[in-house]
Amino acid sequence: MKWTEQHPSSIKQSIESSLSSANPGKAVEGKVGDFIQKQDLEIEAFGLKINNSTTNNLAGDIDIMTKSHIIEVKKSFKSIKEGQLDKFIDSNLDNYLNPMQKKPILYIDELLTAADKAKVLSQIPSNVKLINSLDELMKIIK
Amino acid sequence: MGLLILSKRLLKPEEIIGSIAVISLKKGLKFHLEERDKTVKNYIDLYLAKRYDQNEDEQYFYLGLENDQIEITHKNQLFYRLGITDQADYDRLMYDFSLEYLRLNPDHCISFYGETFFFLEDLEKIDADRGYFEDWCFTSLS
Repeated sequence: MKWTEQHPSSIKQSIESSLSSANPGKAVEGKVGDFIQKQDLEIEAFGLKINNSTTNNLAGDIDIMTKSHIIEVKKSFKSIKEGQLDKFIDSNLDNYLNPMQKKPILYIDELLTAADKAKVLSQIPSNVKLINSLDELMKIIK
Repeated sequence: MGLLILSKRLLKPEEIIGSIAVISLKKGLKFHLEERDKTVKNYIDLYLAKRYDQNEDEQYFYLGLENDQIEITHKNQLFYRLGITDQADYDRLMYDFSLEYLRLNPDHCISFYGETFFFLEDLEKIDADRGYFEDWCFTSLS
């Protein structure tokens, strides 16, 4: 995998740009990034595209990475793609994106019903923490 | 996350792989089926990409075609989520893909985040009026 280190000022700029994006998914990523920054926590990567140097394809992206966590941000439960979190868990995958073995989080912005939550939990690996509010996110990553 | 392929009836992923291969051929997209664990039977992952400008990154998405399809309702009409992408960051690629996909599957619908919905007549109208424009997929029509 080919990783590009992001400069803090470039991360800040990307967050600001995402906040005003017409793409609702990007806007939620911006909202979460902005929230983390305002808690004085360092963001190491934001919207980082990772290239697979063997196949020359883009392997995927990292929405948000802090010192201890890697966070996949989703606007709603409708946009969860099955298997998408495996890239943070399964080191046998070609597109494994978590060599530093940070703790994976799935953040869903839209409030989930109990039934939706159960469905999401059935679709994600058991070692991925499902988070459904910014307050809850703060308790985990602080 | 982002682009959803919606169908009014349940279909097997195998039934639409052919049309995605045709789209790739017509639009000059890079297209391959991701290798996967044989025990995983719930979805098929496809990689689609195109470099529109030699000075810019390749545009891409991973499209998961699902066996267990969640239900999504739009204007009292029930749809099954047949496919979903990992992100909707590249709207030019999404445009080319969506228009050709709906021409081949005119009874299907393309949605972004379950918020904006496009049927074939919507995309044909956009194509006839002005063609691709930035953030087209986040402009609600239907």
